[in-house]
Amino acid sequence: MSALATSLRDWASGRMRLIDRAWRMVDRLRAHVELWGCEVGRDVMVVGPLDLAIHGHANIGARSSFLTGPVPTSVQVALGAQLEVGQACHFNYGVSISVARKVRIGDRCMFGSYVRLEDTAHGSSKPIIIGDDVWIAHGAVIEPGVTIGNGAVISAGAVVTTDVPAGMVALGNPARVMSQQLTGRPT
Amino acid sequence: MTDVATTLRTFIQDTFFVDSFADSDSFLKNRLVDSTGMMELVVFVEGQYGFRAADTELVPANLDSIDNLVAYVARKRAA
Repeated sequence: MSALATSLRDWASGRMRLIDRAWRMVDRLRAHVELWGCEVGRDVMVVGPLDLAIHGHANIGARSSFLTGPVPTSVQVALGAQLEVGQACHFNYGVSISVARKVRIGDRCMFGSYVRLEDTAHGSSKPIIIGDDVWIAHGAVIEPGVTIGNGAVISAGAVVTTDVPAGMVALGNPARVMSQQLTGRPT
Repeated sequence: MTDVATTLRTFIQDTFFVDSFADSDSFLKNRLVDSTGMMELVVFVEGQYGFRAADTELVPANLDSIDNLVAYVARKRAA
């Protein structure tokens, strides 16, 4: 490659890095606007609009991010209710979280698109507790009162009605729990 | 080959469209059954032999080959 081509490539990749950093700054600023009414940690990023109704207490941990898509992520926290999101959690588009009492999410959790968390059903509320390093895949539904242990995986479309122990995978409707070793996924 | 092994082998071949495999072959290592298939297998075994598998029993040692399944079903029926 000629010296000119090399220097052009370096210049272009430098520009791309600058543009990337600029967008990240915009996303961080947007987090403070979109998550108005929440306690927001450092370097939280929001890419695109959110549908928020925070009447209680909501705490979003540092380095968490909310992505955009065809449907915005929706977070509703009722008066007196509590939503706690740990550090470095990632929410894909269309995630819907309704809190009437308490939802606690640990660190480094990943939420696929259209995941639904609601701590109320038929008028009664029970807290949802999600541990660290939990991955909840597309379209899963987490029912009230469910506790999910550290490192668990919730399969796409699962309807989780009972607790999921740490390190297990839940799949189906109603979800059943089995060892992650049975999925062929390295644990 | 026991009746349990024959029943399980027929179910696996009919449901997951797999060819011949040995009784000791791992379903996962040989990519015969995926994770959703594994749950189908559990539901079939429970329905066929009339017991409920505990969450902690859904591990490769109990489910990952015909041999393991036959031993597991025998233990559950004896209990």
